[in-house]
Amino acid sequence: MQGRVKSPVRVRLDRLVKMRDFEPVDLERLLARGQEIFEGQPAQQFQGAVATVFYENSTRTRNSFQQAGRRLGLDALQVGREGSSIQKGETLEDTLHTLRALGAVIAAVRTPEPGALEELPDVGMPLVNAGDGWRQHPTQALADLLAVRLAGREIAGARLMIVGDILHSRVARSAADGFAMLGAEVWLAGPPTLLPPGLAQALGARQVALEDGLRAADLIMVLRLQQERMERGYLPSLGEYRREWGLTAERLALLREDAMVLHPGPQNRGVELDADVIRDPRSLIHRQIACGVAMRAALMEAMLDAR
Amino acid sequence: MRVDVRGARLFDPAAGLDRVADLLVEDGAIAAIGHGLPHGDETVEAEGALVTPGLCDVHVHLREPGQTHKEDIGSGLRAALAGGFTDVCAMPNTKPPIDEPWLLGQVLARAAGHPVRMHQIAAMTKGQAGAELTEFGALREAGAVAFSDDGHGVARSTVMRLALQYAQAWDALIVSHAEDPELAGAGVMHEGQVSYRLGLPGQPRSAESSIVARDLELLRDVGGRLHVAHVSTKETLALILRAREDGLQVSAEVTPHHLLLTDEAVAKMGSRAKMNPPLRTASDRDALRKALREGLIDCIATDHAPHSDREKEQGMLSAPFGVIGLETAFSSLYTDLVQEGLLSLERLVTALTAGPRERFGLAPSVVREGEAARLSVFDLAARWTVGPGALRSRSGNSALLGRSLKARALGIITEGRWHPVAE
Repeated sequence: MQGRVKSPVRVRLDRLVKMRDFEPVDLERLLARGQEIFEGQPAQQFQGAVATVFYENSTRTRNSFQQAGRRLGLDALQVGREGSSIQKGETLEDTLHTLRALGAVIAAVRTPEPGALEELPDVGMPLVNAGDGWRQHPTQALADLLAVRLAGREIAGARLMIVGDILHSRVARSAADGFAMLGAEVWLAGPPTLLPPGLAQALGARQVALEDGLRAADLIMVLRLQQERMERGYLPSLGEYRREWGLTAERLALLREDAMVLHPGPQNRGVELDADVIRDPRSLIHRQIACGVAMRAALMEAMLDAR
Repeated sequence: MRVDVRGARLFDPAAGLDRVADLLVEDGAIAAIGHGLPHGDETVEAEGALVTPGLCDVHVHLREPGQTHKEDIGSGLRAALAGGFTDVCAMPNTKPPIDEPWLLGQVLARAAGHPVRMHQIAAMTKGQAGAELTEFGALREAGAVAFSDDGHGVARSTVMRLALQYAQAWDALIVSHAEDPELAGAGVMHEGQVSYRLGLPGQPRSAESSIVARDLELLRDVGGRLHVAHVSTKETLALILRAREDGLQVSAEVTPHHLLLTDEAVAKMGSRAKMNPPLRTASDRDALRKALREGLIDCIATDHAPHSDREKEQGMLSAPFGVIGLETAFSSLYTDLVQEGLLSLERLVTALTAGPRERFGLAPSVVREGEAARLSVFDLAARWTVGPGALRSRSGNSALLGRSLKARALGIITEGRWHPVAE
């Protein structure tokens, strides 16, 4: 009977590049569908494969797309950087045509080039942005939205604070858009070198002092700090980052009882957050990962069904 | 050889000329201006057209030698003619850079005989590596009109200081591409609201203005003549204004794209709007327009920078900087600034003729009896669409593709002949 299930969502999307590609109403429907899939309802079944084309390494996101594909009856095809045609200079467009010829019916693409999918001609199958440089990572935002909703929290009216390296973060950009689209207020905090003046405004958010935000926010999203920021001189040391902007065990005490903590993973324990935070009942960190599979399945189901 | 131009509006702000009349060119000079002049060997029917002194672009990249898949001297000069230019100054950042007299002689020889005259700017440092000065004396002898490491910022202050000093032996002009390579870093567009939104690495405005401030202080310190290429920020304008008031010998140019576009164009057209210095904000653009109106900026220069489609289609991070501009400069500025009342025709023509010629020491072009005839002729009523088929440049990387523009060059008069824009 599983093959008879139809996606209840109609996202008229052939390509998901950024959160703003959604209409808010589609986003609501997609979240409802993601919740059903998360709770074990059968998904529509398709023939073919989901292709993951990753110009940057990511085991978690790739696995998540592949698991989501399995829920839809899809095989997995994958192209990475090492030893692949990517390294031989094949263009993304040609790689996608090849994968389609091999049986792919949908592809998730991760590239360092912001907006790469926007400039690509039609390749005969739907495409999902799995992270494009600093710009967007929309399926991460979908996962976060579902994790918050499953925790029983209303997104409209919620205050989401994002902490860390906002400048280089596609997670921050897509979350700021996604939560704002559903009526949340977005606050940003971080070192001034990584949250320069004007950035908050550009993302439609408000800049707040860390501890003020921690006391008042409903949702706290802690970003991963890349080691590279130290090498480029944005920060003097990991230790100072932890002291000034880390969600330490001490700062955890500032949070409201009903606050919730998100992290896109993988975490640097003892840098942007302490191990105590991950174990805290207010942490949604582990649930975000399962939500990622459900939302990617819901999204791909809707995109494939619309074709 | 005699050429007569019938019934055009003869317009030369420097000569105080603006009248409808015939013009007769004989043996390369303007023989007569008036009504009912005799016909020459060739007649240009130009009722309703505009005749100006020959347009001069002091900043073009013709890519020869080394990158002729983008452009070469021939295709670049054909593009210049199509844009109504009689003179261009080629930048030396070819492969190899024009840093020795024999190279300079070679490129000038390649350009000889073309209706558009190519002048050559020589490299300021050997290999444009920013370390050792080139042989200014020998390069001047070979024909260099100025010295520049354009394409690269000069990181070392001592090198810029020495260049300004050394150039004074010949009263030579130093053209500065003002960019702090560290501050510009990996930036691919202006750092600001749009780059933050798009998640693209930005170049801060201080990457330009801090170097302009340094160069002006060096000029104050040691003297010399400095020309600031492709000014893009309002901070740079403020620095130049102060330096001018202090009596320093500094001039500046602005490109059509910085006068017409802002960083929002990057959101719309991606790497087709990627250029260096980057497109800035609306307040910078407006300040540049004002500076041009008021004469703080003396020159409009295109920074014509051809790149192949394949190179430009790589995406924002990898695509090379630059847009072409020779064929659209006059038309786009006439359409968007003059027709909109934001710039007078007089200022537009002056900044494309007398301003650059004077600053770069090129032979003046004056529409007056007895003067050498270097003239540009435009049909101001023409309407055309910027498209690959309409362009003579080997590359189509215009930021104005698809735009409908008014005014188009009909041709130029140089070397005593009429050179129409070929259909």
